[in-house]
Amino acid sequence: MQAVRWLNIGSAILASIAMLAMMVNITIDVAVRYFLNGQIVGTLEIVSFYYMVSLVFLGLGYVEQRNENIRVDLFALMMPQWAQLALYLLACVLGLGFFALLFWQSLHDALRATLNGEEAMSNFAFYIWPARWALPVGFACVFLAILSNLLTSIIRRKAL
Amino acid sequence: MSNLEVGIWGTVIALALIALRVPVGLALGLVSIAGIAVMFNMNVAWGMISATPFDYVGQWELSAAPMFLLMGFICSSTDMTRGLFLSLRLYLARLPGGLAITSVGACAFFAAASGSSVATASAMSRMAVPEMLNNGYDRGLATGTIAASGTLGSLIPPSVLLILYGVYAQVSVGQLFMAGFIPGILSALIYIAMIMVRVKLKPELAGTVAFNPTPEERAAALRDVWPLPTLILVVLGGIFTGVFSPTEAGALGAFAAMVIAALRRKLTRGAMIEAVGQAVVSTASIFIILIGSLFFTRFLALSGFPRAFSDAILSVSTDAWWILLAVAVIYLVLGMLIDSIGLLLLTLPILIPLVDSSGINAVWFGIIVIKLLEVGLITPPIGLNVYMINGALNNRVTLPEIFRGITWFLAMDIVTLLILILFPALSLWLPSMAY
Amino acid sequence: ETSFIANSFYDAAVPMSGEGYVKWAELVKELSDGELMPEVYTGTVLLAPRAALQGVRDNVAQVVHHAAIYTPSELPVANAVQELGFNYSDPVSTIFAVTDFSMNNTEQLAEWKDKGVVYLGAYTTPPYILMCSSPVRTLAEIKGKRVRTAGSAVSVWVEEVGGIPVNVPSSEMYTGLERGTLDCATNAASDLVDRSLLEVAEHTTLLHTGMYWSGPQWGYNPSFWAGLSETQRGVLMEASARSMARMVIAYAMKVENGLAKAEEAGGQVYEPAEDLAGSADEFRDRVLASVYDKAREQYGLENAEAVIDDFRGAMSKWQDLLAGVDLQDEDALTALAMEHIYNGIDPTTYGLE
Ligand code: NA
Ligand code: NA
Repeated sequence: MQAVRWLNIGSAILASIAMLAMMVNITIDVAVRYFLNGQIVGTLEIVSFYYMVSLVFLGLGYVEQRNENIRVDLFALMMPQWAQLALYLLACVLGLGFFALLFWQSLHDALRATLNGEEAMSNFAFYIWPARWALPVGFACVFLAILSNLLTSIIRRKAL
Repeated sequence: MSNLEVGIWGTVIALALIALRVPVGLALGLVSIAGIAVMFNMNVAWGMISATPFDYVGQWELSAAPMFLLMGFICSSTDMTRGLFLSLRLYLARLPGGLAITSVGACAFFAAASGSSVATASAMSRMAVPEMLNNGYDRGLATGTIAASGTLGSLIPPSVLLILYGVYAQVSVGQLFMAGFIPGILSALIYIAMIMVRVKLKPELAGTVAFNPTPEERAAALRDVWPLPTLILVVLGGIFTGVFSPTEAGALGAFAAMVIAALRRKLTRGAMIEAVGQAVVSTASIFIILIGSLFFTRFLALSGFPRAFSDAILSVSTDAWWILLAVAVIYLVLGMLIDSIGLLLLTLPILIPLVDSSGINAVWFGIIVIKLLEVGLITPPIGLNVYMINGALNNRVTLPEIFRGITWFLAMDIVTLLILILFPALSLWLPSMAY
Repeated sequence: ETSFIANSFYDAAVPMSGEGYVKWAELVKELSDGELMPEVYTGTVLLAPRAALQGVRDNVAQVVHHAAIYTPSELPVANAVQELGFNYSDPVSTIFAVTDFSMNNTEQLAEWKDKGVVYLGAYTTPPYILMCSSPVRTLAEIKGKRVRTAGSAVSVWVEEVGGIPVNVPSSEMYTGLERGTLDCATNAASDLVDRSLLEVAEHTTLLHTGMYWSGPQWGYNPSFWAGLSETQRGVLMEASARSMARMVIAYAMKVENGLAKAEEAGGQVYEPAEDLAGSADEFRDRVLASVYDKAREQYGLENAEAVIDDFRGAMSKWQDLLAGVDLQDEDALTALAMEHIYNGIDPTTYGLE
């Protein structure tokens, strides 16, 4: 469980780096345009396909790890402890299934994109296949985080 | 079972799972996959999984959302509102309920530097609510003011909700930002008017502690008033003068916020880690709902439910009033249960076809929807802002007390909504001037 | 009665969606006596632009519009012939020639089959032109200008003449021109009205900078296609023929209307000066000279010459066929398309194993 925790902290750090890099890249692009009438070639593509995709998918596991997914707590809080635990376990099991599906399909997509050397429409050849790998990695992180939370909750006999 | 029936059952099951504490994005996504597998086969479902997350997340226009979140979190983690709050207070102290009015004003300013309502309420509650309580303000009024004024965060630009709406409904985000401005200010003014009237009629609401700042305190407050107005000026000024686009404004704003924080020597490692961490968490938890919602969109579209729903509504009347009434009822009912982003993304697949076929102006509709969603943030039983404030104060004010304090603000929101519906120009005039 | 989902990612105001899907659906219902009932989705809600091909392959929709430039590595043949986009400027001959080529050329047919789509007709944009916030008529004037370009050929040319090619989404074109982060947009003249560009780009130069036609206007899911009766397939072919005629006619009117409205609003419409037009012509010659190598090297086409020449042959064939035909006459264009394309397609075998 510690390993899962560090894995998710690691991927969240990568997501943070993507976020800061996005900020810096766009800022420099605007500055270069404003002062020099130039541009950072590929800002649009890098922001969309690399920064955004890494930021979002690599951040997912950390959110699950910290149990910060947006949920509606109200009705559950009115129920007895055992029912809360049961509902939490149900949500975990559903989550494991969902992210397993997403992991499996995105892994296939990443492999296929890699073999095809997938490119995006652009003014120049722009490879996007490496970005595809953020999905299976991110989904795997969520899967493991749910598994870890599930075990924690069973050990403590209490919903997280 | 017909596809339409699958669509209706899927919606019911998704709502039930959400009510049973299954994360919103997960509930929407899983129901959609199962529903599509039932209606067609698993291949179609695999196809949806592979065609959706990457292609939607990888959008330039959406990049503004995490950037505006980051900007707001930097503002709150580096305590950028304090000077403004104290200065406003110096000048508004004489008004009835001056401290509450100060809080509304500070919320409105912070809203112009923050993309989200919850972030706005969170930043302001830590500072303004204890201040009001220490001055003997009514507990309901103190917390209600912040919970309600926090909702300005999504109406006054920038706004993550408006970005999501714009990208989804294919409406210009720049226009939506402009359109939200006047309704946001109007909401704030109506809150202020209500506070003044109430305190005038019942002075004990605003406590009795005298406010006599020393000259040093006055000077200190004024010295630190500049950060927030400067940031807002950079962001809005940059958009208006065309130095950068509304999408780029998020990154520039976040960067400017860091520069300002550094100038104030508040950009510590701790503050940075807090802000970036919160921005990553918020972004990821919003986007997982977005992905679930995109699955849900396809599922519902394939089931024919949105069209059947839209036909049913339009068969009663095609009058804009009727449609808005139907939409308002949906949001007010569901708004009791689901938070604003989840609700927006849950309902757009059903409502956008309705708006398209009824010919209602999509910018105006967007503003009404955001205002309705904001009302949902402060209605019981699920009012995200209320829980947030309750948590931020470590339960010093109980939930029922906060909800009671909010009643007056809710009434004002209904008034604002009616005004916005009666006078579309309030939303549409500014974008028509700018574009 | 067979109902099915049809998806085009353009807004319904654009002929690819308006004439090509919304009105096409009415036509299909009518021609099939209500046997075929398409349910049309326009916009990106059901499928993102880049996901259309995969969506139809996976049967999310049964027929889609797919712009092949979004998936360059998936559709090399279609993208290789699109490289000639800068070299043509007549939409009518282009839409039919592209259809003719795409439904008869062996390599192209193999590509459709391989990617899980049955091709049943083309689309084309009008030639893109320059819409600018300040006059751009000469080589001197285009120097240092920031030009929104979509595609590699035109961006290479813009760079060669000293401009700065910029890639922004079309949704941000208006803002860019208004705020001065863009000086020009290369797009169809219809966008002067459809995207209100006439408000922010008062100087239009009729310099043709390419057309876009790659990928199916109607790409069918193969198993859905196989499940239709011969008569139904015939109906869909006829609907394709007439809808293509309607699309080019509607687009031509939109272009004319866009230019007229721009002038009414006080805008200027220029022919390009000789040096600018000459530079574009010279660039076209170079594109043509290098297109075989590009098809071979960039897109991996083994018999690049045969494919490209076949495509160019179809283009000249249709330019000849259309000589003397009234290009506004929907019935005449439909009849030509039926006679020279669809009547030669066997509905019992086309698109089947
Ligand atoms: Na805001
Ligand atoms: Na609520």
